[in-house]
Amino acid sequence: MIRFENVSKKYISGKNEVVAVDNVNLEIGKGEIFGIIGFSGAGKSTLVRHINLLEHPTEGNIYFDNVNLTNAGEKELRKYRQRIGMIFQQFNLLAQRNVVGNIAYPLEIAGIKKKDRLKRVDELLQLVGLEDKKKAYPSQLSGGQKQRVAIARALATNPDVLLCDEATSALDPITTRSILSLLKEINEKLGVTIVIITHEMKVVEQICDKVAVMSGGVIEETGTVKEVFLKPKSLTARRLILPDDNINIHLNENEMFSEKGGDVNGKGNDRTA
Amino acid sequence: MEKAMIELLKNGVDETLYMTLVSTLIAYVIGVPLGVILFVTDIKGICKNRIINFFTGAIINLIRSVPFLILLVALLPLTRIIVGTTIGADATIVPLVVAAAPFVARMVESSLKEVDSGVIEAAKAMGSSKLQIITKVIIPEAKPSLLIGATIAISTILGYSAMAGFVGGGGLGAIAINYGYYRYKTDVMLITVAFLVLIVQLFQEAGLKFVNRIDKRLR
Repeated sequence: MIRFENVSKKYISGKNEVVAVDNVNLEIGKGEIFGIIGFSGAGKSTLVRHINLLEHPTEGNIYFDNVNLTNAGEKELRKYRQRIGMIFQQFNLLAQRNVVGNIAYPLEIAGIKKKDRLKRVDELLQLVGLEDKKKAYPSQLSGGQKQRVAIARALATNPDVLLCDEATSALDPITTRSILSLLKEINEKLGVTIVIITHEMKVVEQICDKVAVMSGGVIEETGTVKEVFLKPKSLTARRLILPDDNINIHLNENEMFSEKGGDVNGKGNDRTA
Repeated sequence: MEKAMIELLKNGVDETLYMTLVSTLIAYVIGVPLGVILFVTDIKGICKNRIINFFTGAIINLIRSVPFLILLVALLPLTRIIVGTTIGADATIVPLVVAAAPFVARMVESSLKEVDSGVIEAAKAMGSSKLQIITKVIIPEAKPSLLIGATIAISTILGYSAMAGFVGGGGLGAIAINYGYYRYKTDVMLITVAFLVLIVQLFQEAGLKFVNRIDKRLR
């Protein structure tokens, strides 16, 4: 469904070159729930913005359904973006439009007639369980409700893929769980491929099939959630999975490993030079 | 106060309102597109263009830095071409628009900058064209701030219109200068000033009330 081929993204920040994404190769299959986990500043958000080309790679190619999106023109790209929904940590709803207006927006720009738009909005409201909030404005909704509106909006054009950029990070644990089960339901019912960016292990644990661990712009390991949880190979994965008091022990172990080669710890620093 | 004076003041209020509202309207017709251009061609904008941004900004800064009284006099030939005369309310509209449009452009630009960049990104991710982002996202989202800007612009333009009384413009400003200043009629001057204060107060209050009613963020 989505394939990254040697994708790198470099910025010039002052006199330094910053590598946000470093030679990433990744394959996300159709119908999967794919997690990308890492600490803040690991480049996860930048990476996921390459899928809908909100960020253009400095090097490498991105394929969507075996079409190379890197070379797509502005018009073609807009068509693809209607097949890739996206939700955000801060919800990013239109504050001056009510719930119906927000969910109808992507249908409006896709040129769908008003009558059909409203019918589709009703279906979506039912899917996310907000039938009673039609006329409410975002400022009148709770965080969980806002994210439900955002999900309905992202699904309006029947996309093949849903990108979730820290979608539950601003929500409390109970709301997080209910949003995650909604995402799971969408994946199972509609067959939508879901890509989830998070720094929380419990998000991956609850709904992901596969996971990629990211640090310093590099994908350190990829595998099924079970594989990575049971046998985390990279230091980042261990630090994310293991309780805090166990990290030191593993840090020491890692120092021993690094003498044999492959200094995992120093990777992030080398790349900013 | 004699009847003639009351008639004169009534005329003055009418002329002042006419000059201010027409000038503000035309200034917005010119200023909004300019403000949008400044915003979208900015380094973080959706149609980044350094050259257009620089030249638009430079022209706006140039006009804005000329004192209004100098602009009034300098524009007399242009006013004569457009209106056919250089005195009266109609003639004042020309320099008022020239002075106000760049000011409005900057106000519009700063209102648009308040729109959450995350919302613009979301619109982009949904496949919006640049024009759709401007007309369906940025401007509607900035509407409350744009309207607050408009009430400030009206008050400023009203102040400018009063200044135009010095060079033959119409309205309350001309009355304050001709009767109050040149003929030492302090009472007339005070009354006209009181009217000006009242008009500013009215626009400001009404504007803010209206904004509070339409802004969906404040509930």
